[in-house]
Amino acid sequence: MNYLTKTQLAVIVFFIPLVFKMANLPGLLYAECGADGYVALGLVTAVEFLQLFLVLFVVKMGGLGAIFERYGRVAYLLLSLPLYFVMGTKSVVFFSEVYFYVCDYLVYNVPALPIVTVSLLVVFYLATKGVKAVGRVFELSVWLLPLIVLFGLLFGKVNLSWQYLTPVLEDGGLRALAGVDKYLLYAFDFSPLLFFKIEEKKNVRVVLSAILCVGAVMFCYVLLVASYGRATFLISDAFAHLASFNVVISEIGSLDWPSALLWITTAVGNVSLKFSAMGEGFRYMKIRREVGLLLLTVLIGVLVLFVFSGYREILALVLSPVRYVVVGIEIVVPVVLLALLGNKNKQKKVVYAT
Amino acid sequence: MRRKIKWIFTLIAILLFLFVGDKLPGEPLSSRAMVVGFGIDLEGDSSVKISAQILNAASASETSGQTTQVVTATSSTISGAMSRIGEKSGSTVALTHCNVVFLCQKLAKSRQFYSILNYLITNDYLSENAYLFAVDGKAEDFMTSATAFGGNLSLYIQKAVGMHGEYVDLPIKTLRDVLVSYHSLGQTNWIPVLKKEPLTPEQSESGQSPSDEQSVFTANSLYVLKKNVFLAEYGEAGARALNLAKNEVKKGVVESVGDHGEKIVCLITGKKAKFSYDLEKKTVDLALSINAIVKEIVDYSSDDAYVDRTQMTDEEVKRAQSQIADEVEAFFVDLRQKDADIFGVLDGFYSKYGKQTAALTIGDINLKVNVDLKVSKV
Repeated sequence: MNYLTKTQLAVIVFFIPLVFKMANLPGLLYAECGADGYVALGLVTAVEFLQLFLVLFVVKMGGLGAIFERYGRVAYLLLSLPLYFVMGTKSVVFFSEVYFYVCDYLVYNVPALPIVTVSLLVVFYLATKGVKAVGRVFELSVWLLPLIVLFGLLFGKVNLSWQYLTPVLEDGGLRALAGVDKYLLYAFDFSPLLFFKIEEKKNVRVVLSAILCVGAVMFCYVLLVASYGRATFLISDAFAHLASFNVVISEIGSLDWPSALLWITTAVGNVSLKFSAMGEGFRYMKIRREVGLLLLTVLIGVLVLFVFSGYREILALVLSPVRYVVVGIEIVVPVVLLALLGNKNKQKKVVYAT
Repeated sequence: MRRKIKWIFTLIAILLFLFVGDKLPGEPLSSRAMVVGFGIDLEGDSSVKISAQILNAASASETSGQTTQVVTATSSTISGAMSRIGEKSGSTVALTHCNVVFLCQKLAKSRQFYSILNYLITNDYLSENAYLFAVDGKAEDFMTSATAFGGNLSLYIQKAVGMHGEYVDLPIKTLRDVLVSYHSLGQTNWIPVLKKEPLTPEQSESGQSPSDEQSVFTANSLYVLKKNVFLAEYGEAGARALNLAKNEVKKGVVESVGDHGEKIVCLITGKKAKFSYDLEKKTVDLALSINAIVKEIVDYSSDDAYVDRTQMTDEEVKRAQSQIADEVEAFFVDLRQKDADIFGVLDGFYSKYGKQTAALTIGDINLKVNVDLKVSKV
């Protein structure tokens, strides 16, 4: 059975809200709302976990699979197709960040085509292997974290000015809200879990992981602002800049490789999770999973290479009204699922009682 | 089906590496020109001459040191010049191991300072922690100079900074610091200035012939800039005043005068600097807490004078405190007259008072320095 263990879920819950908030978002958010950004980001991440616990509750009730069983294919399609739109849009945005990172930061002057092709193949492969494999990738990559912290403590050079972190929410939080509104697309990213089965155990580790994640998001942003001050808006690939030596050395032996590896792995893992979720959905649409995933991979590749091929195009997509639709779907669909599954359960109970 | 997918994937991966693999970076280390130091000279009005100190380059136009060559190229852009250096050395120029950047005096004092430096700052292949120095002359001349104690200038400077970087008389600036200062409210930047002191062959220890002039280098002075405009050069006193107010600099030497005119030298063993801001009074209080030990007391007042004590009197400590405070305040005031916010106090005010400081300028602000010097016996 291809399902997520609770340990895998806890690791995924830690990384999913973190990974793309630590790429280009900090710089963009600082340009929009200055030091208020880290408060805004922390609050949004905390609110995101409300969505997570709603999603987990729905999954416990059977998730989208239960909708298919109880309400049929049409209901399933009506509820899953909007989620496909959400995951597709986010896959384009997030996958672009992956290849921007590789092409702009990690290696010298490499064209997008080979990077996109190779990375998408990895995404495709992981998606075909199923959510358990994706979860395992996350589980393995978590071991890089202590290595990065250790290298940072031993060799890191930082000059932190805490004065850049204040004042915050001076105008009552209006600037922070404006920033959150603008980059809403980066929040609420747990809907792929609706497609999977998750091991039934207590959620203690998941809750702990959620708290750690909010702390990690705020901590990274605080470090970045304290390091770069008012120049934070210029910083892309924030996680890479926070890593020990602030430079990727493309030769063997660089101490920055653990951070590069961690970001790339978890970023690809994040996109793979969405692909894997869509792959699960294909089963109920009478589409062979592998064929559906292959077509999806080609579609995302074409979109990334030819339609949203540059940073400007991706930013336009992120800032377009599509973001409201995406977040709306992320919130509304789990609520509808909860209502439908709750209603059906109630009906069942009534039947059993008589 | 899963197995089929695995084999199909493996096949695709092999085919990709066969046909697209050449597009991926795959250069061996030997084909890379590893730059350990980078110099920029402004040539005329619109071109730069780049000097790259390269480890084990295949070919080079000039030589210095035992294991590096300095290769130069001129172009209107840094990347253009780097491409030419790559052609000259027959390798791909790699800045990943470059930890020091030298700017010629002309460039450091010109308005092109930041626009030229911006390429290096935004270049992800050069460490933001690379040290930046202005040189008192041409960067190429400095980089091709033979250092008196072996090695090349870039590695020599890194070694010196590693050993003495925490001392108050050595100002240190990284590329990231330049970026942060440039975007601060006061937009005031400073760069340490490297000066060359040629040694005569008799002075050098390695028995070189007179033609092999060797040099030692000092970096105890600094240029201060506001945005792109050069304001002034300060010597050792300026460097000390600047570093005394910085928390990350914790060592150094403080000199004072004794009750009978003796020269007293104290070694700083620890230091804390704390700024506090009062918007109503428009005053910044800098509380400097310094721990030091007496290293030496010399009396030049008469031929037979000698000092048999290793402790300072209370009066001498007070005098030393006052001297330190005066030095820091004088440095601040001098730069305030030039509209420069050398200690970043405008950001400090904004941090505490927010938008209320919108109309505040550096000219309105007074600095009070309180020094608490604790001197212990050797």
